[in-house]
Amino acid sequence: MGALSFTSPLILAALIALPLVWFLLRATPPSPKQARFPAFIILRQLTAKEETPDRTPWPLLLLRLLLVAIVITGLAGPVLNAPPTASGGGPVALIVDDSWAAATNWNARRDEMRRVSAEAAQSDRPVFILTTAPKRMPAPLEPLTAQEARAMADTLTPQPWASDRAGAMEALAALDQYAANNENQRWDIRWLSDGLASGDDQAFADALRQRGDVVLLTDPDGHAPILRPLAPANAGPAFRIERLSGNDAWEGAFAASARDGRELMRIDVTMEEGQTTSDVTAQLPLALRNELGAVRIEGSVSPGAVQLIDARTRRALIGLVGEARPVRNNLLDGAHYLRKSLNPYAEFLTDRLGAIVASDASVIILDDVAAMRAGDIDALSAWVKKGGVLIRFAGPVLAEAAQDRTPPLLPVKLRGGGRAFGGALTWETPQRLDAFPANSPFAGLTPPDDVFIRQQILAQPGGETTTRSWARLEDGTPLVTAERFGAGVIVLFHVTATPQWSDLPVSGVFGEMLRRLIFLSTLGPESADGETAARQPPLRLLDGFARLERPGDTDPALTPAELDDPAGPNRRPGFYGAPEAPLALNVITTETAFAPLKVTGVTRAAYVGEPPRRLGPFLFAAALALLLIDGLATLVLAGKLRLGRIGTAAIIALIALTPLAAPDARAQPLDPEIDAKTMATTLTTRLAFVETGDPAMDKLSEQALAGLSRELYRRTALEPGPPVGVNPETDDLSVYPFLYWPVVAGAAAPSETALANIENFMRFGGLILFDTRDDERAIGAGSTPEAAALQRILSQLNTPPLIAVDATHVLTRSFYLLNDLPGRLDNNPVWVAAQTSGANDSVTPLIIGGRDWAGAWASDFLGRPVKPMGQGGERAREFAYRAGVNIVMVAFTGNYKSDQVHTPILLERLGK
Amino acid sequence: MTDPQSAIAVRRQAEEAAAFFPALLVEAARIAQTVAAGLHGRRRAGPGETFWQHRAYAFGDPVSSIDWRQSARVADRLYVRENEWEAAAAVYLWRDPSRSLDYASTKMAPTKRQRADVLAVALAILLSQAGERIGLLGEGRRPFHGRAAPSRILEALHIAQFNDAASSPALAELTPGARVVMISDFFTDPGAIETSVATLAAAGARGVLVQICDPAEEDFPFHGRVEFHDLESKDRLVFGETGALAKDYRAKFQAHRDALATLAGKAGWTFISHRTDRPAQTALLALFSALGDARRWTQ
Repeated sequence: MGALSFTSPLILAALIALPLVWFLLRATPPSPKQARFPAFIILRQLTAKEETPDRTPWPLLLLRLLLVAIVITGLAGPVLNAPPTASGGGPVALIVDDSWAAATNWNARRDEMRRVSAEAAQSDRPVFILTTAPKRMPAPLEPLTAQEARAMADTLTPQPWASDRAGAMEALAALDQYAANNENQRWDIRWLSDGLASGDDQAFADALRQRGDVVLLTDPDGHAPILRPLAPANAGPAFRIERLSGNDAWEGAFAASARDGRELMRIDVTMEEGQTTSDVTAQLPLALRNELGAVRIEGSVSPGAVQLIDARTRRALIGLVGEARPVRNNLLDGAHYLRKSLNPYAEFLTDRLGAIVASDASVIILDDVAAMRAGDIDALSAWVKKGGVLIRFAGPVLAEAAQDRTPPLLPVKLRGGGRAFGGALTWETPQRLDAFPANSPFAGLTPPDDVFIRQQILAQPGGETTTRSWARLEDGTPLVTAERFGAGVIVLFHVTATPQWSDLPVSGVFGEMLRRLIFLSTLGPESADGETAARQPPLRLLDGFARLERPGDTDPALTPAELDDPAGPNRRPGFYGAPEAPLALNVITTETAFAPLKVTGVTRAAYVGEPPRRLGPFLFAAALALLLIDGLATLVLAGKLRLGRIGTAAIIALIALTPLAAPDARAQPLDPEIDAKTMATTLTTRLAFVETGDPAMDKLSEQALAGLSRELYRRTALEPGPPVGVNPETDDLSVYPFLYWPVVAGAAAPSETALANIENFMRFGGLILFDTRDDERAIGAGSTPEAAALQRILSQLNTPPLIAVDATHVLTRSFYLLNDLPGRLDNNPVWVAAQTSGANDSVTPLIIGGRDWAGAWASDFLGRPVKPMGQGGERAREFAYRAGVNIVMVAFTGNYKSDQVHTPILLERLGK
Repeated sequence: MTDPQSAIAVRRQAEEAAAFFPALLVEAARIAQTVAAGLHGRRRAGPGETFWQHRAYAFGDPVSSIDWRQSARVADRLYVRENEWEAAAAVYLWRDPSRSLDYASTKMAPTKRQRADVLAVALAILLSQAGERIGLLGEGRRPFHGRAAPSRILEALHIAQFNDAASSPALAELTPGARVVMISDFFTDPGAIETSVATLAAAGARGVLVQICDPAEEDFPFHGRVEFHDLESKDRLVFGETGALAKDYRAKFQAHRDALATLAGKAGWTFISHRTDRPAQTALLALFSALGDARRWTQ
């Protein structure tokens, strides 16, 4: 609550007139209710009792006085948080830190600028506005009128880079000439700071103090947190959320979005009181990690809270094919060195070559592999032509293979054997690396002088070999040769990936070389252009409020090297380069300073939290409301409005309920609610049957499953709950392991939704028992109405191939050893899915038969059978129950008992 | 009230009200019990339709009056058939034409004038069914009789629009033994009414005063500050707290009504009060019994 002031306080003098109003109101009673009345002869007899005019009731009087008082106060123009009127006559100088750090609370700065402009307008003083963030084309520094200052305040926006107070100090000197004519007057200086320290703070403050009284405005609640990149962790890019003061706890969220704006992840971050940093790692699957476009502190508008993700940090998926021989020691394995040097930038995949080619690897490394199958060669060359990078390392195997003929997929022809330096019988000393040729992707790397090549494999000399050399030894022997092959490239390192032949794998340049090679791949993560000298045009640039916008025509293109420099007017933060592999220039880098501004000799103040607020409209609204109440009261008093109890209650309710009229709008949860039926089944296993719509059939199904559940409870460790009828279209089938589906004649094919649900049910391990119950009538396929209905259902399902159940099927072995799966009838065969794949433990997703299992299993609540058996009497019913137990056991345990099939053979062997 | 629709409405309501009653006779005790259609026998021979006696033919009797069948039974004697002398009574209606009747406190209730018209016409219907003659007090015309009488009464009532001057009944030449039915709110000086009643009674008329009141007039359901407008004089009266006055008002109102009843009793007349929120039948029943009351009826 700020100070209350009035724009025209003289009007308040009218409050003196209130007593007069009081007298007037007292004298004027409310007008009486008018009524026609014929019985005047009687009324006239009452005239003696007629009263003198009523006095206005005192509550009404008070109400009206209040109304008048409110109107008078409203007319006086009350203003909350009104700016204090300026003192002194010197020019007003606004020093605005319009840096990235000012974006968070920019409105406060703008309000302050407007306020100061208004203040200057009142006292008719010139305004200097000096912005400290460097500009490409700075506006001329001139004294502004209050109007101009206000216009500038409205248009000024923060710049997405740091402020330059040293530069501002020079500009300050340029303003002195305008202040010369009123030299005796001190400036009224407001420094709207961003609250962050830079190199020349105290000098700048001193320069200001020379010219006048300085008020340093800082954000009242410290500075909003920033997001600083850390060295990428193995799990993903890591960031640190930093803030200046740990005065209170901070709660926020870290959000990562893809280049197309999709949100990829969101992490809630809390910082305790006193904690100023919090590290966050964007743990994402590799595919998603490579799509990362930007991460930000959610809800922050500061460019400092955004980190744009450079394409260069993307990690490639590298397929690694090594020697087949087992290596006991890590240090003798080339893969170890490759992993070590590429670990921050890539994920590795070790598999058969065929599988790697089929995967979405962008780079394949063959570590000393010579022999490949013809099919693999074709696949690999096709993959390289498509844009893959094949990196091969030499080694004993390759050297051996090259003796006879040049192995396929090599950039150059090899000479057999190899070359060893510095051995006991060689003249040559180990060689160093020569400078990298300009045409190679390694150009720009500094060849280390402590790397010696002791042994290598040699290429056939020739013009081709020379042009294909990307790295040479000092004597000119090619060390790395490469050949463009389609869109991709085949690279051969003429040394091993282990330090046996050379020091290269343990040098830093090795990782750098591999990294550049990875970027050559046009597969998988988009490669950054390796040419360091190329200027990258701006793609999307950050504005002062951390929004990405299209670059202007004048925004310069930058070289990748320049991108590492801090942001500035000529290096605007944002994305540069190709859209698919943009390079990022961020406001906050690992080096960016982030410390509170500390200067002495200035008056500190906080930004006015709340802008001036005119209370007049609220007062007039209140007066209007009072007027309405007064009108209602007058009507009631005059008897013209009779409010019954209901009317009064309605008015009170209306007033009380008005604030409740707009209910909260909340986001709906994405997942639908789990209904009670499904929830109950998650707690207790229940057998389920599909409701056919025929009440008799549904009752029979329920009795059958109840009977079967009872037997299961009695005989097995499974203790199912009461059975439940389901509708495949509406119910969640995922909680039921077993579904009994009696097919009735004329059943319509299920809807699309139901079919999708059923297919899902089958795909994820559910077992459906289709029962057409027509065993005694069935002669051929589709011969009965039930079978026709079943065909209608199955024709739309993705049904696996079927076979008839024989005595060796796991269904006959899962609990009881049976020969068949009898139901009430047992004539025609029972069909199950042929075991073509091992999915879902080889559980058949469906059992199809017409044996009326329900009829055999059904029993009433006392356990008495409901239907007679076909043949064999109660003994046959016992077998039907056993078949049911077996079926349910298969649904629950899968092929657990399938080895029972082999029992006779095992027993036979044991017998021997 | 001049539009035909409302006239038809009044007629219809009146028919409805009258439908509950047997034909009304303003007749003597011997037919008081059985309300039958017919004229009132005067227990002597005279013009009429009911056989009274045979008498011997006297010179001068018209030949047409000879009862030939009777004469044929007796030799040399001629008998003349004499009927009982029947004469219809005249009932004179007076409905207050003043503006004060044009009042209804709620929109649901009819105005007093409407109710008065309904009562008047209903009575006219009953009387005409009974064969009585019906006249309007103050109208110079002869009393109507026959089926058309109610219509003509209604017509006459509607012609006589608001006439505030005539708020007390006019005095008129009446046939002896006539009945007078006065329908009004009687919000006038009881003295004036008494004068009229006494004059009429002196002329041999008997009658009924029917006071029609609006519930508001009787209950005085006002609250707060009310300014009352008189319907006739355009006078205004302002009362501060009308709710507190209600008790006084009711006492005065009752006193006024008692005065009316008393003056009616003095003249041997009947006083009936009726509220417009009650069904018209109740008033009509009271009127019926008052007119048909044999004890009050003497030749």
